[in-house]
Amino acid sequence: MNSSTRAVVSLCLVVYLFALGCKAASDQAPAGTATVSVGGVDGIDSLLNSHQGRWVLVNLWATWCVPCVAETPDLIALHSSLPAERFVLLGISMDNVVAATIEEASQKVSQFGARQGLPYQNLVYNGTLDDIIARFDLPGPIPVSILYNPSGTEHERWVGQLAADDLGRLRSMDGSF
Amino acid sequence: MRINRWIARLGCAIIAVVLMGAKAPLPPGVSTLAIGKLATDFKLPGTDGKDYTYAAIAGKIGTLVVFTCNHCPFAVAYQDRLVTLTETYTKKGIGVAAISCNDVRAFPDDSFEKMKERAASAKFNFPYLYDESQQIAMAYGPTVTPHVFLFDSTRTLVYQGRIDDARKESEITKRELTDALEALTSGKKIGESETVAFGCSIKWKPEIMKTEETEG
Repeated sequence: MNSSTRAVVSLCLVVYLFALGCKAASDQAPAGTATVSVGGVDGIDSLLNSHQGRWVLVNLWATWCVPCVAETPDLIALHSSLPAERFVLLGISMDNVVAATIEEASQKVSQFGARQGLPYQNLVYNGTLDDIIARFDLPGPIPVSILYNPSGTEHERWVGQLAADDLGRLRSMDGSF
Repeated sequence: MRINRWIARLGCAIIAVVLMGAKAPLPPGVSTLAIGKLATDFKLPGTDGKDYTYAAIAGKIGTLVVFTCNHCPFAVAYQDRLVTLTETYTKKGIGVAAISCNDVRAFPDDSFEKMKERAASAKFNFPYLYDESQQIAMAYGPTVTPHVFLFDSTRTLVYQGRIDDARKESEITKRELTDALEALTSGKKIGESETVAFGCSIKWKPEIMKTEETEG
């Protein structure tokens, strides 16, 4: 291989690697977007256990649920306004009950998260309706938001879109941490 | 002052928990119809241009009233199953009707015109009725779409809740509505008479909810 051929091959390799890098970057969520995982009730429990010692707001939602989507900017703002070392927001997506597959559900949540820049962790629920209804004593409609204290006990819950005064009260809880 | 403020906050929180509990938000004074209660009569316009009363849709053995809507993907996913159930159980003496009651100002996809389109495209084999005033919804107290109410021949509620436990056919392990229909049409006692109906919340009109909260 002469020097000019080597130069052309090297150039092609550089272009190829650059293109690969660009594609990888375009597949990634914007900076600050949190992870999306998949799991059942056990996965939810282990996540909640890992956050013991902090206040945790669990938000059960779905991308197909209009009031859930409507309250997302408020949840992002709430997450940003409270100290991460003492407060955790955990989204539990119910997308899989409508999606054809768990992969499709996970992709919908990831795409939504990337578009919105969701800064908090989300788990796409992959289990039976009965299990999650029993785990959280769900009444039927979503969104449902449940606040757990640092010892893991339910402190308060809201069924439906969080109202401005509820969000204000949650933000003001900073003083009680 | 600070203590008073916190006492007031605590009081509000306790009141909120007592009022809301784990229940779905319903308009003040409204509750989901209890087993054993009688069906409220109605006269509602159907997408086929006719008005329907309870008596007009009632079957000899029983009557199934389903609150559903156009915009909710979870409710839509169940509409084929409702068509199949209707096909099976109208032959066995069950009358069926679906009612859409959402606030169409907030959810235009649930408008009467769109309901007509859905009834045609999904080949509904039951009347699809529009409860514009939400007065009938207030009488039955559905919490989500879809939420089903099954009455016997004396108009007494014998089952209310969900259709089954999984939207995906392959994952269904419990078919509570089918079980209730089977029991009713074969003169047997209904096993499970109440289940939690999961889905999209009923979109009540703000003036009916009379609260600042936009329920979910």
